[in-house]
Formats: sequence, structure tokens, C-alpha cells
Amino acid sequence: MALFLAALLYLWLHWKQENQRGLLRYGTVSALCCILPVTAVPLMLYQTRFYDYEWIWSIVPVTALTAYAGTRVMAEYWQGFRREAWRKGLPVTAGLLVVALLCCGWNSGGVDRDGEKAWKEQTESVLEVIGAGREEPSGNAQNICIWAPHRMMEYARRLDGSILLPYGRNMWDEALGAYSYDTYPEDVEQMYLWMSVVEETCTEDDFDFTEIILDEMEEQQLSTGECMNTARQAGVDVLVLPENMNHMLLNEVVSATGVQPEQSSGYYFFNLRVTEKQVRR
Amino acid sequence: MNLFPVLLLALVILCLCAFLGNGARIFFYLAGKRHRNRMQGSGWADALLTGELILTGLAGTAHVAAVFTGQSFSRCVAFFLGIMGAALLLAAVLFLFCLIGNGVTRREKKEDGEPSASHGGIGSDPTERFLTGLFWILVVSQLFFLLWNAGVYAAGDMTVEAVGSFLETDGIYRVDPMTGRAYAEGIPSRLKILCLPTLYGILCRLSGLSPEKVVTAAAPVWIFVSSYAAFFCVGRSLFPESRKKSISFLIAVVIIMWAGCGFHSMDGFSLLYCGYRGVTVRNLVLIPYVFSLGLRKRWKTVLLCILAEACIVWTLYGLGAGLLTAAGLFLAERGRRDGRAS
Repeated sequence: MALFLAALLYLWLHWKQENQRGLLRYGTVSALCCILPVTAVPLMLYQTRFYDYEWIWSIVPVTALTAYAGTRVMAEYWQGFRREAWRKGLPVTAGLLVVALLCCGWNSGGVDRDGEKAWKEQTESVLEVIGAGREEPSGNAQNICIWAPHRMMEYARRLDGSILLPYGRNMWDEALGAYSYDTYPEDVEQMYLWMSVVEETCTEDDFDFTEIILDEMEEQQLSTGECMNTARQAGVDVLVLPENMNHMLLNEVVSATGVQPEQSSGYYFFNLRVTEKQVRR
Repeated sequence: MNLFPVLLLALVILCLCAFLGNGARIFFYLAGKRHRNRMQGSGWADALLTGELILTGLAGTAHVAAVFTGQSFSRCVAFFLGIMGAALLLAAVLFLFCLIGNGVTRREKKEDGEPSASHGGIGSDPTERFLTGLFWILVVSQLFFLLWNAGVYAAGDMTVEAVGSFLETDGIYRVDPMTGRAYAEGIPSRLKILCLPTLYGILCRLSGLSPEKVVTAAAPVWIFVSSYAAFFCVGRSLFPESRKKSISFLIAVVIIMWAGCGFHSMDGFSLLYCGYRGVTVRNLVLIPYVFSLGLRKRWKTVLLCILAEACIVWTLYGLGAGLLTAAGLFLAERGRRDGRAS
């Protein structure tokens, strides 16, 4: 944005030599419209408030005008890109590159590639263990409903359309709430909170989170037994929990479901569907 | 991830779009004398982008028809293939017509002793060649980053899940893409009419690739190329007199994309981390193309961009950012003309 404002300033200072006055006028007016609250509000209304403020900047030719100004500066100092003009052109080019380098964002804007890769691989191995994608006698893929750590649920749905979830990514990614009129019942929200507690208290060392878990569950009025019942009612077939979860919570799950978990790929697998059938018998 | 099928799919889409776009250019050429100058002034980038506008329109038609008649996704794919096939056939006939026409014209010119027109390739000027080489190095490095290192920013977006649910249920928005379960209340109709997930779903069905590969790998490559094609058009419009300046403009665009790739909602970030999204197509393909068309006073083609935007991003009942941009640019250009006249 700093580069864009500098570019606008440069172009206005060289107004007399400007060939693209229409574009410059438009760029300046549209940028002002996005900056000033009086005009930014109608623009927000124009995009029906569905999108955030940053998206009203779509109408401003930020990249095009900045690149245009950069080219004008370069052309001026290189005297129309002549090699003989390197004495002036080279320092200016280097200066512009340094400015661009200083304006760089060094983080990846919230994209955790390694984390993504790790979760994807873990999810793939978990889906393999629970037999996702297997075909029914009818030839259709068998639908399996899983309840797992949230990133795993996210990737399971992305990797395999036959996987069902008791609640989706829109539970923790607020922006996705706008894509549906549906809301989750309170008991399903409790399931989400319970799984959040499980994830937050996973540990690689010997630290005992029991006290913290008890406090948190009391504060949020969570009950492992009720959450397991809700999971069954929501049609969860397989409950997947990390191996490094708190043992007190694990024992609560075992007693609430009446299922002994299978252990594989760093996770506990509770086959709730089989147990339900056995209970019916 | 095996990138060969992904790259092949992106290449096929680009080739099909270029073919369709060239067909459209020939159609306008044959339609009348008024369009002939435009045909000569346009290049490969214009053809590619026009083809993409047509592809979006065809996908939008198939999608809306399937949604409003409650047809299955398979029927939507069949309908899309039908209209796409018809469009390609028409383009092929036009090509054939043009080839025969060109052969006759060339023969006539040869007989009259006229020199044949040369088309501008890379110039013989070493500076121009250096700038072109530098541009390609930068673009290819960015493409490598996109394919091997960038990752995907999926927050606030459900395209992959939506495509997966279309394929799984053989229906469009029959289940909530987030959970795979039937909707209780439903989805806003403004989202239901957007065709991009259906287009990706069709590509998955035709290529046999998974939704994740098509949406997060093939589509970003396709949008990446289209985006630079749009900026190429902007560069040519801003500096019609100098190829060196227009290539420098493109180099500046690549550098700005690199600089912005760490900031959420900057163009560079959209291009490298969420290239498959509707807003990315709008901001990096349609809007720059609108600028380029506006600068060349090709306002009728701008209408196609506005329609394409309505098919993929829904802003104020389809009017969209493209209309606002085109109107603003039109007024600014008009002010400039009035200023000159007075």
C-alpha cells in the first residue's frame, strides 16, 4: 500500500508528462473512495456486506498503477532503456528493488505449509485405518461419519467426499457461517468444545493437565458422557482421539461409550457404530 | 503430488480457452468491418481471456440450468459438454473458414507482389531480449513456488468440499459441503448460482483427478497464466508505443506480486496462495482485463467481463466490482477527452 501511494504521488508530480491521465484520475478517486469512511461505507453496502472491508479495494488498480509508475521511473532514468544510461539507471533500479524488498511480507500470510502437509498425511493414514472410500455392494462409496481433532476433520472432508462429520469447519471458521442458513444445536457445539479441550491438553511430556481440564469442563459445563451420547445421536461411526491425550479423559470416554479403543497411527479409534448394533442386539 | 496430470489439465484448459477465444475473434472479424481493426490489434492474450470469458459463460449456463431444474450433476456435466462441444465445433469451422480465406488472400497478395505482413515476436534489440528473458525467469520461478512451495490458504472458503460433495452426491448443493449431511435450512441463493465449483467439478469428472488436485493445483496454475495474460494486455494498453516498456511493466508486476505474497488480501497473496477462488479470478484476471479493455475503448467486451464476474462472484445482485470499475474508468476517460476538447 505504501508503494501504491508513493506511485500515485510520483505520477501526480509528473502530471504534465502523463499519457494515462484517465487511469490516474480513476486510480486516485477510487483509492480515496476506499480510504474515506463517507465513501467506503456505500462501497461496503455495494458489496452487500458479505465481503470484508479489504475487498472494496478490488476496484482500485493497485498493482497496475504501482507497476506503471515503476516502469515510468525506470524508463526515465534508463533514458528509454538504453544500455548507455546505466550510470543513472542502475542505482535507481537497485533503489526500487530495495524498496520493494523492504515492503515484502516475510511471513506466509497465515499459510502453514509444513503443518498442512503433516495434517494431510496423518488424515490420509487415519482414513486408511477406518476404511474410508470402501465401496458398498451397490457400488457407491460407503459413508462413514467421523468425529476427530478439528484439523483432521477438515482434511478428511477435503480428501474424501464420502466422509461425514457431526459438525464442519464452519464451527471454527466464522467466515464460513455466511455460506449456509443452518446453525448447529447446542449439544453439537458442546461436542466441539469437548474436542477443543482434548486438543488443547494433548502433551508430549509428562505434564498432567487433569486439574486444568476439570476446571475448563466445569467452566464450560461439559460432560464427557453427554458428549458421547450426542455423538451417537448425531450418527458418529468412528471417534478418533490422539494418543497423547489426557488419560483421565480417555478413561471417561471408554466408560461412557463402553468401547475399548484400537490403537494405530498415533490415534485411538472408537468404533461407535459396531457397539450401537451390539447394544441393539 | 504427481504434478504431471495437474499441469496437463491446466494446459488443456488454456489451449481450449485460446481456441475458443480465437474462434470468437474470427467470428467478430467475419461479423463486419467495424471489428476488423480490433482483430488485428488483439493478440494471444486477448484470445485466451476471451476464451475464458466464454468458458465461464458456458459453465454458468450449465450450472444455473441444473440448479433451477433440479438436475443431477451428471446431467449438468453432459449439458456442459454439449454446449462446449457446440462452441468448439463452431470455433473449428470458423478456423477452417479463416485458413481457407487466409490462403486465398496470401495467394492474391503473392500474385500482386505485396510483401506478407510480419507479426511481432521477440525483437532483435538485445535489451528487449534481456528484459523478456528476465520476465520469463521471474514468472517461471513464481510458478515453481506456486506448484512446490506455496501451500493453500483455505480459511473462509469451501470450494474443495463443495466440489467433493457435488461428485459424491451427484447433485449440486444437495448436502452441506462442510459436513456432508443434508441441509436443514439451505444455502443462500446468491451462492447457489455461482458456477466456479461446478466448473471445477466438471474438470474433476472429465480428468479423473481428485477435487483437491483440481482446485488447489490445476486451477491456480490456469488462473496464474490468465492473470499474467491480463496484465500483459494492460501493459500493451499502457505502453502501445514501446515493447520494452510493456515488458518492464510486466517485470514490475511480478516483483509486486512477490512483494505482496506475505500479506493477506494483497494480489500476490491471492495469486500464490488462493488462486482458485472467485475473488482471485475477479481481482487478477477480470478487473485488469477490464482496465486493459477500457484503455483500448473496447467497452462491449467489458460487458462480457461483467457477466463473467456475475457467474463467479456475487456482489450487489451481480453488478459486481467490474461494473463499478468500468463505469469509473469510462467517466475518467470521458473527463480526459472533454478536457482535451475544451
